[in-house]
Formats: sequence, structure tokens, C-alpha cells
Amino acid sequence: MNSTRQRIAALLALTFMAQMLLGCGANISTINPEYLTTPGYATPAPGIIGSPNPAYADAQATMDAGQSQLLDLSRKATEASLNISQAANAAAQATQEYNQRQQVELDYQATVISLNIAQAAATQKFIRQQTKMAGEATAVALSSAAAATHSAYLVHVTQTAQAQAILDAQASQTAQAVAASTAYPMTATPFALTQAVLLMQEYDREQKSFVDRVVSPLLPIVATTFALLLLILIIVLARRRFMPVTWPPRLRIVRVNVNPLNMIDGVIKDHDLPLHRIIPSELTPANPSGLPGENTVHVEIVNATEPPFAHWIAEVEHQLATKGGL
Amino acid sequence: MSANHYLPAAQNVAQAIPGILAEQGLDPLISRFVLTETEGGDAWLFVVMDDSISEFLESYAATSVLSHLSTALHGHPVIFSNSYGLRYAVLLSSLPNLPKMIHAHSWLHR
Repeated sequence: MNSTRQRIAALLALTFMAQMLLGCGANISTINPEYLTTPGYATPAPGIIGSPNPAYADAQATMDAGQSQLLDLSRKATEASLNISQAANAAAQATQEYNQRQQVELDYQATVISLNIAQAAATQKFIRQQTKMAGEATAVALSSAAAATHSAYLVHVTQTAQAQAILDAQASQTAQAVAASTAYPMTATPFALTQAVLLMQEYDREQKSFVDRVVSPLLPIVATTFALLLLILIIVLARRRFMPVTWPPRLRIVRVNVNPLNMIDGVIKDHDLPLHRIIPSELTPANPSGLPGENTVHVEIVNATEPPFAHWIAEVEHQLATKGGL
Repeated sequence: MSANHYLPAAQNVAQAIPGILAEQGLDPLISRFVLTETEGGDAWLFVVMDDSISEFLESYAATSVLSHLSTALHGHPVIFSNSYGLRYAVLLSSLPNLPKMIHAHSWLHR
């Protein structure tokens, strides 16, 4: 960068000097119009006749020298400009290369990071698989442990049952031994007979003691309770039989003025049919009381020619004739 | 005609009918039993039901109930009548015997 600045400063200085020289030439043309030249100071105007004035020649030489120097300076400036542009291009190239290197570096780093990420993912996957396998192994181990525990429990239960059976057998054998030891002296010797008699007496004493201590004290209490219950029952029965019935208000029978039945043309005219349907005149119980041999059902014997029954008979005979009856 | 000689049979039927109705799930609301004998010799026992059964008339008059009654009463015909009251009619006498032969020419020359 510093070299570039120095080159730019030198170019500016040369340009300033070239301007100053051009300004000098203009002043000379203004002073001596015959020395005016055509536009373009590098090419002398044709047909100009050289002046014998040495100052003019000097001036011309100075001008030529200046022009050559200016051309040289211009060439150098051009070269510097080219160099500058080349340097700029080089710098740009360098920057581009640097950027490319940076990009390559970044790509490399990205690749490395991607590889790291992929490796990390693979590691995580591997860890998960390991964890899952460990869990499965743990579950299998737990189930195996549970099965083993259950088997152990079954074995324990079986052993307990066997032990219980052994204890039961021992108890049974003990009982048999006791029974045998009790029965043997009862039948073998006179001494055993005496022992058996003593045992029976002791048993009888125990029974009597139980009766005296437990049963006898309860007898008066039981008798008193029974007598009280009997008395209460007698009182209730007597009250229900002799006391007047006092119905609760909602169960009292309400008397209703019912119109009498009228017979019109042999047909009973009922003015209060709904009421008669609600209150039947006479009902027969479903299960008539009394012994089966008793004829407690009252059957009316009526004349078939009387008006209502004649209608009934005619109707049933008609039905019997048409339907055949059942 | 007197129906007295059918009275024992009528009483037996009258005693049996409430139980038979109860077996069928029916309330035996019976008002009275009426026995009569026609001039033709047919003895009918009328089991007069209470009017309150009219609400369940179809149940009382069902063919299955009548068939069950007839079966339980040893085949006596049972008819349900609902005019001028609700009642069962049981024919205690035997069914009228039909003539075994009818002379065709006498029927044709009528």
C-alpha cells in the first residue's frame, strides 16, 4: 500500500510539473505570435523557418527538451499507471487468491466440522443403540429375576405345604399315639380299668362344672326373656282383637253416593260404571280359604229363561256353534 | 229343567278356576258363579268377572288362557263373553251329539 501511495504522489508531482511547463510555453506564444505552433507540441509545424535568434533556438531547444521530457514523463506516467493497474490487478489477484485460499480453508473447516458432526451423530446413534441394548438386557435380566423369584416362591410354597403336611402327619400320629396310649390301659389291665374309671369321673365332673358355672346362671335369664316376649305377644294380640280399629286418615274408606242400578228392558243400566269398576260389588279371593273337601264356593242356580241369562246362553251357544269352543 | 245334578261339578270347577287364572298371571277377580241348564239339556257355568278386568280384557280373553282353562277342566269347552258383562262360560254337559245319518230325500223334499 505504501508503494502505491508513493507512486500516486510521484505521478501527481510529474503532472504538476507538466502543467507548469505548458504554462511557460503559453506565455512564450503570447509574447511572440510568430512562434505559435499548431496544436500538439510534439510535432513541429511544417514549413516553419528556423530563426537565427539563439534565444529562440534555445527556447525551441528548451521547448523540445521540455516536450521530450514531457513525453518521457507522460510515458513514465503511463508506465506508472500501467504499473499501478498491474499492481492493482496483482493486488486484486492476490486478494482473490487470498479469498480463494480463505474459501478453501473455510470449505475445509466446514468439511471438518461436517465430519465432526457426522461422527458425533454416529457416536450418538451408537450410544443410543448401546443404551437400548443395555435396557433390553436389563429388562431380560429383570424378567429372569422375576421368574427366578416366582420359581423360588413356588418352591417355598411347595416346601411350606410339604412341611405343613409333615406337621399334620406328625400331629395325626401323635393323636393316634395318644389315643393308643389312652385306649391301651383302658383295656389291658385292672389298673388301666381303674384309670379309665377315674378319667370318666373326671370328665363327668368337668361337665357338671360347666353346667353349674355356665348353663345354670343363664337359665333364669332365658326364662325371664321368654316370659316377657310371651307377655308382649299376648298384649299385642289382645289389643288387635278387642281394641277398635283406628285407620290412618289416608286409609279411611270414603263413602260415595252411588246411584242405584236400574234395569231397562232387561239390561242393567249402570250410571256409575267407572265407579263400579273401581269398587267391585263382590270379589272372590284367589285362594279360597277352607279345607279342600268343603264346598265353600257359592254357585247360584238360575233359570235359563230369565232375561240376562237367556242372553248369555244365546251368545255362548252362538260362539260355540261358530267357533267350536275350546 | 233343574241344574242341581250339575252342582257338584260346578262347584269343583268354581274352586279350580281362580287357581288356574292365577297360574296364567291373571288376577281372579270373580264376582259370582251362575249355573243354569237350557231346555236342550246344556248345563252352563258362568264365571262372572268383575268389571275392573276390562282394562286387561285382551289378557283375560286370550286364546291361550281359554285353551289352558279347557285343558285344566278336563276338556270342558270354555268361552269368554263380553256382552252385558265379562264372564267365562264353561259347558259342563257333554257336547250335543250330531245325528249319525241324515236321509237325503227327506232333506230335499222339505
